[in-house]
Amino acid sequence: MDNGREIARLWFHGMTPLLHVQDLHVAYADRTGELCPALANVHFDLAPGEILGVLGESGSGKSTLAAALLRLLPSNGKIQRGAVLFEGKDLLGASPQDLRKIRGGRIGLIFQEPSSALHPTMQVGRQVSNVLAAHESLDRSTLNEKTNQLLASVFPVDAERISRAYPHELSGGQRQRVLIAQAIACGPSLVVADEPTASLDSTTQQEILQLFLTLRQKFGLAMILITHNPALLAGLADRILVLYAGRVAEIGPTAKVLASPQHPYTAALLSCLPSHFAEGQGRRKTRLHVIPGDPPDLSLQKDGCQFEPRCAERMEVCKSNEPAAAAVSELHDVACYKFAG
Amino acid sequence: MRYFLRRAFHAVFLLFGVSLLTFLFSALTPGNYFDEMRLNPQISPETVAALRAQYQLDRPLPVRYAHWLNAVAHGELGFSFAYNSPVGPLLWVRARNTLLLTVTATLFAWLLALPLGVWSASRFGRAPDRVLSWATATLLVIPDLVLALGLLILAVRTGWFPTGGLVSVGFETMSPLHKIRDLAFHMALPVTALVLATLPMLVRHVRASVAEVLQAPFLRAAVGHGIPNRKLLYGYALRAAANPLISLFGFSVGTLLSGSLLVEVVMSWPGLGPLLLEAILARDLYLVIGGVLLSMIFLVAGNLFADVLLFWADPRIRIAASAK
Amino acid sequence: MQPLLRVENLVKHYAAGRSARSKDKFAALDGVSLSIPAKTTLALVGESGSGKSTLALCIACLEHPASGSIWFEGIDVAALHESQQRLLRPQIQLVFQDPASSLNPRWTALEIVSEPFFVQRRFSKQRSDKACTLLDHVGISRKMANRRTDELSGGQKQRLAIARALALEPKLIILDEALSALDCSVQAQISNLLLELQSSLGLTYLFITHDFAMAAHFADEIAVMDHGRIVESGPAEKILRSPSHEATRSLFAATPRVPETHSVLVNS
Repeated sequence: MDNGREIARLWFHGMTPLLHVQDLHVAYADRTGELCPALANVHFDLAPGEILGVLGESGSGKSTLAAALLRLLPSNGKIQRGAVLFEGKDLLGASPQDLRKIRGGRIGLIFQEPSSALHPTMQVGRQVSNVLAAHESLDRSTLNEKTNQLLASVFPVDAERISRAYPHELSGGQRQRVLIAQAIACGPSLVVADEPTASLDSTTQQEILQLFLTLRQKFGLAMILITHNPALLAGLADRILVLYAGRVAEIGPTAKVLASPQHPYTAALLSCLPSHFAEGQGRRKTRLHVIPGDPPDLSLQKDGCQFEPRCAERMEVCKSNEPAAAAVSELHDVACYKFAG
Repeated sequence: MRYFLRRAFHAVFLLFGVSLLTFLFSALTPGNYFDEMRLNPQISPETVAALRAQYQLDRPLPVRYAHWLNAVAHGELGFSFAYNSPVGPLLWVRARNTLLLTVTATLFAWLLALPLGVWSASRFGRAPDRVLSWATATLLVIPDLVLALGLLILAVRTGWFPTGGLVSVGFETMSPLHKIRDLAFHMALPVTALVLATLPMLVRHVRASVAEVLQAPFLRAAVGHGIPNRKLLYGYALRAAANPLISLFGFSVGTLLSGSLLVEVVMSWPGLGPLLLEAILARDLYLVIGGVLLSMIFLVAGNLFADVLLFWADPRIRIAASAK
Repeated sequence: MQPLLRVENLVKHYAAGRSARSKDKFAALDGVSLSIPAKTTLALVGESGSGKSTLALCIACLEHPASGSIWFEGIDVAALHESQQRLLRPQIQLVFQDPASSLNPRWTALEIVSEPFFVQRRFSKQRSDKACTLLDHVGISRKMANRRTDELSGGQKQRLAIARALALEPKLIILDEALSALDCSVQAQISNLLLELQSSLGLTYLFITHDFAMAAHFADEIAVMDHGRIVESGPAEKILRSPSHEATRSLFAATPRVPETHSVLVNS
């Protein structure tokens, strides 16, 4: 699976990215009105048909990123500055009407927690048709037909029965598929999925991830897949973007980032995983490597590199200045003073 | 199905209990209809005793109750001493008048409360919502009595509305259109009083339920899918907030007969309220019991109705109910 | 040397279908047998719906099995009377997957850890000291001890849940997907904590998970559950090197894994 090289080829031919995010800064206002930064200096591009994995732990700002792209932040969230261009259109400055058309129409969104992302007293088939009806003016019978087709594409068996079911009658995996059906209903070119497999068991997880790959193949769908589990991205994402404390630590082709992570945080994170268990004989029941220190508290607004207090390779300059992204190889950028000029 | 049978059974049981209690309390209160008569020197004690015997007031309590139950089973609600006629017809006429008022008022109140509440919830915390909250709070604080009197004063001062009664003199001779117009004018003030009395609480409930739902993840998800605003508010939010509102609606239906007593008395509307009031003051036993029973039937029916609606509206309740 | 916990032929049914009166019952546990020697860890792996949580609840005496026996330190737990079971409860503790719903968000950490003392009426004099010691044990600082639970992070909440489980000095701790909801680096920390506690306090763990990788790392023995039955069990190495049952192999294949990293920091 070498989409990475394919993507690189596209970049070199100067193709317009599907999504261009530049210098994005997002903050939340707490009860006293003080602004607490959640995302800072976020840059990345997404090519059409590319799957970008956003890897981040709690507090890294990954859900904020998903919400900010479509301006779905809660009322105390503010996009302070930055640019988000989708298919050439400016999303941050778009009018409410245009934004509504893009949400669900051109960009599909799959939220966390399938159990709470569906309306509790509405049949799921209806919930899917509502998304279709919101963007296309169809008559009743065409609407039903399209809904059934959609459900059949995510539920290989039993789509009819599921269409009439209510969310609480479905399992976690089934609910997740309904969310996927809603997200792809209007044939968007980008789907943003926030922890789509978080509450699912291994087999269901695999099925959902496989479904994503199939959708990408069939429809050329680009995806932003947000997760805290690096293992999920291994067979799926073309590139990985690592978020730490609201900043981009590293972004590069999946294979490279997972096999030889350059940013100290990425390396530390990957070393925390229980080692490959097929061989793991002598390593069983030993201490796992941990990242020393505590997760970052963004309300403290620290100067310099956010990872510095926990970094094994920190230097003097890391305390005072935030590192800018530097290219370590083709398409692989790292924000760390180890690589700065 | 079993669910409803159980509920219906409970309802009948409840009615029995209420009738027994009412009977007991009325019989235990000091004095009865004939005490007034006894004070009158012109009526001989023998006549009083004879009348008492005729109305069986000299029999022990359980016997009276058993007789009454038997009569109810045959559709007779007893006999009114004051009006010297069977209770049934008296109640039906007055109840019909009351329902005319309360059904109209309830309908208006709900039809106004829903959009107001939803609109207020969608602008939660901002200026329009604050103004509405302030207005509803003020209305809530003003006692129903004051509202009714205030409207009466308005009627007297301006002469736009009649100051009491169901219809004007000469009603029978009016054309159908005039009849309706006349009735409407007479109803206007009492209905307004009732609506003003119940609207604030309804609006606050709708607002609270909808505001809570607006924070829910599924609503944010729906926004993320580009669902238009109106559909979000009514098709998604209100629908999800329906449960407590349906229970409230059941309560509204339940108080159709009993909730308007004060307004009827103050605005001289010939409904069940004034009738019951007189009956209590006159110790007219069977009229009181009959009236209370009728109100209770409505209350219980209202609750049952709410249960039915909830069962229909919320699939989760269907599962829970059948699992019991 | 008798095992600390032995389960024999446990059966538990739940009603399937919409109505409680329906004849369809499905077997959550369909004749489960296992045994855990003291001071070891058994990992119970399976998908959702395989019956793992039901088994945990039965062992902890929170559910009654339809038939079968549960032997804890040689005593038949399932046959005990309610009041006798209550005496046994401190010995078997549970830690759940979602600390947010198993811990009261309005209580402080200290209150949560002290609660078992109140319920079981122990240590009336030194409750506060014991509670502080427990919190130290799990790595919750004094500063955090007076914070309300909803102000703690996911990892801290799970530490708190473990501290609460340790309060009554149990012999067996059942961890029902206790690590699944945590971030990777936090999973590593909590995993290390649990291993430390096992060696210092001599605890026995029943580690329920659907994550084969964590199970492989953590357990001495692995048992695989599918549709209410244990389909394969044995020492961890054996299961990992040569899984024999269909269900085991498919779980194995479904577990996502990261290729080995060549970074310098690996397990240094």
